Amino acid sequence: MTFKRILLALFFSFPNNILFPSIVSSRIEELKRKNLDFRLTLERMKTLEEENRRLRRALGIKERRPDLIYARVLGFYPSGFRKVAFIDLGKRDGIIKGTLAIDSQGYLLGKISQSFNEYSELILLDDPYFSLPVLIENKTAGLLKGTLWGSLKILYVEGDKNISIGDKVWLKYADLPIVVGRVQRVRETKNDFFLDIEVKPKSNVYSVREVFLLK
Amino acid sequence: MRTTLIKLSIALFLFFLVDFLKPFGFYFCSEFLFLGILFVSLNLAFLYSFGFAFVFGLFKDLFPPQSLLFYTFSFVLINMFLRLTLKYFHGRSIIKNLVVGLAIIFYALLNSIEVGQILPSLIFSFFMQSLLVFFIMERFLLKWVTD
Repeated sequence: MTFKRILLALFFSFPNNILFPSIVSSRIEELKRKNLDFRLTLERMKTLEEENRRLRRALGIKERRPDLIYARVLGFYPSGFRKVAFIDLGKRDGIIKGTLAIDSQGYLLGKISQSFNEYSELILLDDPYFSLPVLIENKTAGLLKGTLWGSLKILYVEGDKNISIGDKVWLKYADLPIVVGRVQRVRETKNDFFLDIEVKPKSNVYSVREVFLLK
Repeated sequence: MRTTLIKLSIALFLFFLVDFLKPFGFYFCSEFLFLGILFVSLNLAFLYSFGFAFVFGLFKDLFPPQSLLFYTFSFVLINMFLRLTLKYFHGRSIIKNLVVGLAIIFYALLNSIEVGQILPSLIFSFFMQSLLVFFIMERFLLKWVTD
């Protein structure tokens, strides 16, 4: 037994300590712990998903999962004061007005404002004509508006809703939560009943070349 | 003259394509076609420059279709403003530069009113980028057209 320990120390622990100093090994341990934690969370999620599916079946609720359709950006509205893109899918591909578009990370990019046979007009989050009802955490709902200058605004949120910086702004589309961004600034306005809320979008609306449509 | 007009038509059409394709994404907020119209208004006789402003304004309005002929109106207005100003204050490059600056601010304000949001930061950014690109573009375009 002692001989085995010596051998282990000689051939495993000793080279291991030389090759991986204590900081590195403690980081590896930490990552292993995190990895295990994620695995357990994933297992729990799987169980919850299964349970959710069973309960839905029992209650007769149909599961709605939107199809993701890939679309390429053909071009943009030729103005510096509008943020509208044209995509290569249209009515014949089943794209209709109001279809939401997300980026490859799953963050909201915009919505279809007009659909033609061969192509569609995608109004981006930051366009001044963009508007969409959204949720702020689970506190309240408001109307998201584009500002043309990177950040977005949420209108019609009353002052007593306890909105704070960092709150998640999202919306629910066919049982799928879609993140828009986070609250960047909250201001109470003197002469207005509603808060002045600024949101930093998660998606990069400055450079859009491909989108995923939620059908 | 005919060659000049053909060359300018090609240049303006290419500017429109660049505006449509936006190779720099939305980081670049200026408009090449608008700068081309400024160039044409400064360097061509009134009749020709008016024609260019009208035709390309209409072209921009029709693609995508607009209910208001906003760009036709703005381009023609800017063309007339430039021609009239230069008619009375000609000969000095400082006047020309000042008029170009004023035309850019005027166009940015018109667009801001059209979208219903006046953002000083965006107007400033549009002004700076447009001015810089215009003077670079003018140099090369003038050389190409007069060659």
